[in-house]
Amino acid sequence: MATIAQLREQNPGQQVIERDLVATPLSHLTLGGSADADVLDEFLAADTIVVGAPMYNFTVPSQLKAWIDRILVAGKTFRYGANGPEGLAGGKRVIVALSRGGFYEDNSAFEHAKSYLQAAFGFIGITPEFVTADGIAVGPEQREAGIANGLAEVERLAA
Amino acid sequence: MTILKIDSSITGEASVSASLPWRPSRSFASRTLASK
Repeated sequence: MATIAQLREQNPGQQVIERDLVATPLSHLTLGGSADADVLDEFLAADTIVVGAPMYNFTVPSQLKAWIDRILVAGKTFRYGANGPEGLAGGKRVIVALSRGGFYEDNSAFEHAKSYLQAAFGFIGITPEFVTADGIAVGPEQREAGIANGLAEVERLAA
Repeated sequence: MTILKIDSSITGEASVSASLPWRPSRSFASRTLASK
């Protein structure tokens, strides 16, 4: 809980609402997906969103994709205006705790986790911050170094 | 002020702590890419 702990240390008294997408998964998006308005309302009500996102098979877990499908909603978090799409959620802070098994350049053809989250949150007006643990599955030394790097990035998060 | 914490790790380890390790049984991708 390093990221949450860091944020609460910087700003005591913040309320934390938890949504575990594995324990309580959302279904794949369907035409009736708008019935999950509570997921969107929860997002809209939050000031800061901390997303735990491992990379599985080059992208985010499908559980997380299902959540993003509920928060990228036309007329709520973005709209199409005269100049194209416009994000409507720009006042929020998003911090992504990203872990990846290997090492990926940002422009790698295999990297669809960080790049996807940057694009998806950017589309609704948010520039996400990342704390990253890389090389987790490479070996014990790389795993330890990756976690240490991620935790150091957490400590450097701005208040 | 409200923080919304979203977890999406199937391992149950604390992904939000940035310490989530995913240990695939076949780590072809990560090992291959890491060795480049």
